[in-house]
Amino acid sequence: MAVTEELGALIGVARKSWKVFLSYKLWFVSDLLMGFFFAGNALLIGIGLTGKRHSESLAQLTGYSDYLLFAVLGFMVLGFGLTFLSGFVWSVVDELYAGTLEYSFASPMRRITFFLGNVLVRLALNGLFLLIYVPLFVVLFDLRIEVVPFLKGLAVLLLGTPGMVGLGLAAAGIVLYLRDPGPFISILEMLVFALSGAMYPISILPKPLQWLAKALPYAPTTETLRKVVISGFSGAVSGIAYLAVISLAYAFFGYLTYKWSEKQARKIGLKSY
Amino acid sequence: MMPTIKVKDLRKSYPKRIPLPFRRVEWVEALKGISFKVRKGELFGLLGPNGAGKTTTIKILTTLLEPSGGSAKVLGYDVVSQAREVRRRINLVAEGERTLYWRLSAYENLRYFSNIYYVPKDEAEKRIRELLQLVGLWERRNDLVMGFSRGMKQRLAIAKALINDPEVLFLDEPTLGLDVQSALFVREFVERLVKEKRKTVLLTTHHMAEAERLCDRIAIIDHGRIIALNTPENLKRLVSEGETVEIRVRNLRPEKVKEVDGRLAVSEEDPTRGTLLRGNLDEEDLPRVVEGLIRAGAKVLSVERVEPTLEDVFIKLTGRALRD
Ligand SMILES: Nc1ncnc2c1ncn2[C@@H]1O[C@H](COP(=O)(O)OP(=O)(O)OP(=O)(O)O)[C@@H](O)[C@H]1O
Ligand SMILES: [Mg+2]
Repeated sequence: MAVTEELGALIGVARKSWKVFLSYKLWFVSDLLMGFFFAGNALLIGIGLTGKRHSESLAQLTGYSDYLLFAVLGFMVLGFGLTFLSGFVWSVVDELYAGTLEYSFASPMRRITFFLGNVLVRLALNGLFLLIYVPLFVVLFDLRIEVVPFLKGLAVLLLGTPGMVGLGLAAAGIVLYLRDPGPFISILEMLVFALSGAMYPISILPKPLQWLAKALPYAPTTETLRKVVISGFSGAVSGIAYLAVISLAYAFFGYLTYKWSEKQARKIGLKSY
Repeated sequence: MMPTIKVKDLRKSYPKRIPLPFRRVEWVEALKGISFKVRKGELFGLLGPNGAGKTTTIKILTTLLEPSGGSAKVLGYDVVSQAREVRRRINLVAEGERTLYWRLSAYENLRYFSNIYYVPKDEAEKRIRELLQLVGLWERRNDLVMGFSRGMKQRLAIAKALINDPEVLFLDEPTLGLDVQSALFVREFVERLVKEKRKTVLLTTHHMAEAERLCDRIAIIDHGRIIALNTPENLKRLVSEGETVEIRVRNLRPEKVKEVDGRLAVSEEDPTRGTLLRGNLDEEDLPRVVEGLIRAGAKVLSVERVEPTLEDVFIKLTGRALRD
């Protein structure tokens, strides 16, 4: 069966990437700690700067008075988005330069399986961090979050995922052509970070940047998710509709971009093709 | 019967730089229209010097590259429009040794490839064990590939190439850079695959003795063209008339060789042992050729009649020797 075959391949890729990840012992430890403390740091900085957890201006702008809850939800989306973006890109780049990509691309496995398999571990780690953070914040900072609204929020995250996957694919397609992809990836990550609305509402950005943020799938996912968590699906219908449209649009755009890009690479004969 | 591999007027050009809008780039023609067919159960060799287009041909047939022109079918499937159908049924050993995951064990490598080739789990366990035993790596299955010798890595690459029980196997210079013993192992292994398992194999090499010993038929490829295609015996018939000689000389500038006799080519240059010339001459020409060499300033160390090999075929066809 095609689906079970592809699932088997997905697990295979995930296990491979996990084992390779583990084999870099120091990287493994530092990556885990970085991932864990990054979000924590950023949250605490936010609280430190505003001086207090509850902000009237935030409440006016977003309906959230509690910065911590605002930021936790934002980081959840950002973690997802960045995983698809830099995770996809690095999974090609690393193997392209190591020389191992060719054998994977010569196999019948679908490309998307390769990409998703390579980020599966990072996604699981993101989930794990969340599982640690949320209870920790509940205990330490009296974070108030209800289970049902949170699950509704996750549904929104799922809705935004195809768009984020699409952008990851597009970036992976571009990276095939770059001799030195490091700077490109850093710039992309920075942009996504700044425009995702994870730490501040994007309405405080200059207008052009707001439009740009609106045009990418990250901020709409973040904002709609936050809205759904406080006011349920019925309070966020237009946001959900907009997100559905751009998420699908980016999924198609990313798929086509990657496909076109790989086809071009096969034609001109890049490093590993 | 349908040929297992069918290549028709295959062309491939590479740009010298990445083409961008408004950037003029020059293109290098790596394949200038090659055609051949390989039958089921045949061991077919592509023999040619560096840059001849062997790897390019393999990459197109294994769907890693798209041709610029012509067509190629493997098992009746087009390598461009039906790439996944092709991929399911073939496998390859690529050039070089950095193709496997050095940070994984031999076993983990094979397990990964069994997954991405859709081998069912129970079958995979059995097959990985069999293959590792067959290539003599079962005892080392849990060791990281990083610590393997070049020969062991190549044996693992071959095991990987059999993980999906492919009908057609593509091997790009499978013995390049291996020690004598490992190269022998690889050759005998490939031979058995064809004889006992009825696999179809296409391999590339620039090692003449290897091609001659192993292949049922050989296509000699040079500068992107097939210049001869036949069984090793029939190819050697091209040089069966006259006499094949090896002349070892000293103090001869290579560019002088062609002036003395166009049929001679430099087959080996060695700073201590001198230059080895090779050619297929007429018997009565030999004294004149030796005289010519001496007049050109060379010190002739030895003249020897030898059995013609594929190298002589290559020299006859191209005027050049096919040097390693
Ligand atoms: N990715 C590429 N980009 C540009 N030119 C290329 C590329 N790959 C190969 N070429 C050129 O195409 C020609 C054929 O190369 P190919 O690798 O097919 O030769 P080969 O017969 O495998 O040689 P070798 O014995 O060195 O492996 C060469 O001139 C090579 O420089
Ligand atoms: Mg080659």
